[in-house]
Amino acid sequence: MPLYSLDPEWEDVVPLPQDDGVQPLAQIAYTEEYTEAMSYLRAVMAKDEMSERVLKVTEDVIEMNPAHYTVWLYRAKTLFALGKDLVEEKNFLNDMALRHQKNYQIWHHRQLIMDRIDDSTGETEFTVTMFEKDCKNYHVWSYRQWLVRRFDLWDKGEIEYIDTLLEQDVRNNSAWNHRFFVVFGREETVPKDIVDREIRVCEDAIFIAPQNLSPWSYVRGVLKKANLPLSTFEKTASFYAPLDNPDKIRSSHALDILADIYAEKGEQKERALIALDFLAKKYDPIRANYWNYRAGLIKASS
Amino acid sequence: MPLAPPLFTTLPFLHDAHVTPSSRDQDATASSCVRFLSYPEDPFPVLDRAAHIAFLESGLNGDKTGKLPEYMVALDASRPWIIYWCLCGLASLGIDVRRRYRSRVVASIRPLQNSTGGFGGGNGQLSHMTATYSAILALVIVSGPPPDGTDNSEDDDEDPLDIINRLTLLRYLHSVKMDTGAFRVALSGEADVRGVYCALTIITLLRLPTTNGLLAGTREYLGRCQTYEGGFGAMPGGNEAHGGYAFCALAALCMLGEPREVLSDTLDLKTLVSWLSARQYAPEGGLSGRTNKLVDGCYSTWVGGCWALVEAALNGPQKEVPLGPAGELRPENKGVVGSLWSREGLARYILTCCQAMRGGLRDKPGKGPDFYHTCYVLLGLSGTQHYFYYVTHPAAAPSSVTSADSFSTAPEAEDLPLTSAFLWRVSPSIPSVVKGVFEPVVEDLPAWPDDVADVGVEGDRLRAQHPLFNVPFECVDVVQAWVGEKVGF
Repeated sequence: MPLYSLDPEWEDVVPLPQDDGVQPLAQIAYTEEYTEAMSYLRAVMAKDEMSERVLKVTEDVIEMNPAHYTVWLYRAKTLFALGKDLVEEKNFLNDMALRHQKNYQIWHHRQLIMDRIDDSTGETEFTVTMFEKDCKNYHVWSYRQWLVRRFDLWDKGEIEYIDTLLEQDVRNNSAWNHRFFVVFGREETVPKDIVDREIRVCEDAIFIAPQNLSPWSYVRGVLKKANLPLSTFEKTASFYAPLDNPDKIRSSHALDILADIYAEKGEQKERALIALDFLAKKYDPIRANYWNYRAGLIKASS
Repeated sequence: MPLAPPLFTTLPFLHDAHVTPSSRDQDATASSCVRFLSYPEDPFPVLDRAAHIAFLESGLNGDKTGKLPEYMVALDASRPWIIYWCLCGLASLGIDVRRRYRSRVVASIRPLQNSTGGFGGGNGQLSHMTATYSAILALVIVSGPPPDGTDNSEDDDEDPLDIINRLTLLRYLHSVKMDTGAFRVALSGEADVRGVYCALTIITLLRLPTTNGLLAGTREYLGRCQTYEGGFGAMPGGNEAHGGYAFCALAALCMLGEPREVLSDTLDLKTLVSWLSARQYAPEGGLSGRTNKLVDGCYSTWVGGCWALVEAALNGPQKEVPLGPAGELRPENKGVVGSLWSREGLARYILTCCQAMRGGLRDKPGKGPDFYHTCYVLLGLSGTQHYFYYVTHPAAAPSSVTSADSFSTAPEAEDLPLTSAFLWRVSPSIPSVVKGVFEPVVEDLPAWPDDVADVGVEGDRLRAQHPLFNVPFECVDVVQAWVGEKVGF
């Protein structure tokens, strides 16, 4: 069903066909609608036309193929050239984003638009709607970090939102990662009370689920940022992995951090080797080669 | 066939009682994998080579109409990718793609090149770094002199790579280069480590000059992508560590210099190795892309592929010694780390959980196959079957120490062509934990035929791929020979 060739608005345009070459590989069976819309779009792009009808045809193509980066980039250029109402564009994007979860172009486009609008009203709320569908969506988290930085939203409810997400799922590593960004992402020293709070958050999370890697990695990151030794966490780790009472070991990650703590303390290398041996033989044997490599490093250094 | 060991058939020893959406997904995946992994009749099924070949050929040739089905319009901006995935997968399975597809690859890629430099995802589309990367790799895979028995005659004198306009391509690369050290994926497009990896692959393979600051700040940019977890985000400043971006960043760094020097100077290697190791799960045996996310067959390449690079960084450059009377070389086994991951675990996951019934490979049980997964699952399986190591540069021998004088007149180090990527070697043997002893990675099989379609080949064995470029290993030598004859552009 031709839409463009019969439309008087397009009668001045000679559609530009696609050249796929002779006997091309991986040729796609397009619908007539797609072939036609693309032919008209190529024609106006060739003239570098930026007009209302360009917006119409780009919207049409994007609806059929939202991963078409060329069309998105050309649309952005046209929107800016025409000085269009970008808030309206945002509504179009909301709809697209909710229907297409894994898409680089939608989020890059949104970033270009929002940078021009220069007002973040409603944006974090929209990312929350996205996270309700997939709370680990990489593009959306990346966008949210851009928002925080661009609009200085560091103290506008980020930590509170992360707390909510971690309450829903303490294993949501994307939320942990965002937490690290919010707490340590600014170019300033983090005060001691905040560092203490973060260590406490990890302890609480580990208490709920000791075999959850996220808080164990997070606390290592916190200690490193705060220039504190790993042994700061020795007591907690020992609680979840008492080496002298192996039946009570409840976390392979506790064994992992203990091995590092003991290896750092010269006189307790034997205990580090015991922890690594537990990991290789019983608690995480798929990674035996790695645990044995760590043990080898300790032996070589003594 | 012995049953699979309990490691792959029983749920982990430690298991928290607290249930969340993540643990529910993880438990469901582990249980469904265990069903496949412990299937008593066939605990380690053979690679269904013929079915996978047929699946990938359908990606190149389409269905009965000669085209790919309508719904694949979603990949209309990724056509060079489809060609690359299918060619690369077929080559790994032992198909002589150069003989079969050389002229059609050239014909398909040629209309994607833009006069302003680079390649688009389709004819008339703007140039894009990932489209340029996959288009060039597709050409690389079929590069070299025309094989005997091909029916094309008109462009026999032309190497497939000759269609690339290196001068406009270089200008394009400069136009997407940013002051931060990153490369955008397109003009006005987003900038992330994919852009950097694609740029470095192109620069290295085509030996483009890096003068005028083409790589200024790039190494530091890659270093800033490492996160507190040890892996890499898509860009610096807070993105979550992710397997795909980790491969891009590490492979890119390994093109900038000798792996040990570059990786240990730029990164926290210890945390990286820890994060990488934590990507492998039991009982699945497969690899995940992020902490507390599920295994996915495609990470067999993205995460699995990081191991060779990281191991080379831990070992430093190796000297080579003869392996046997045939004169094959292998690295000296002096205190090298061997394999830090479970090759068996990954091979089991791929063969039991990733093979779709009617051909093609997939993310995990319950998912359908596609060309992307088929390519990267096969490359990952190939990675489990080969040992990669990095050799000492011949010019870097102690006798040829550069004097201070000659150093001062030498060109700036960062302006020299990138050559480190060409010092990788592959061996069918792997250093054992016993010093000086080498073990075959897989049971010895007869030599490869030119084309498995003609004679067939038994077993799961796949051809080796280059650890940085993900193309058949020997293709890289062919490109080097081609580029060596170029004077200027």
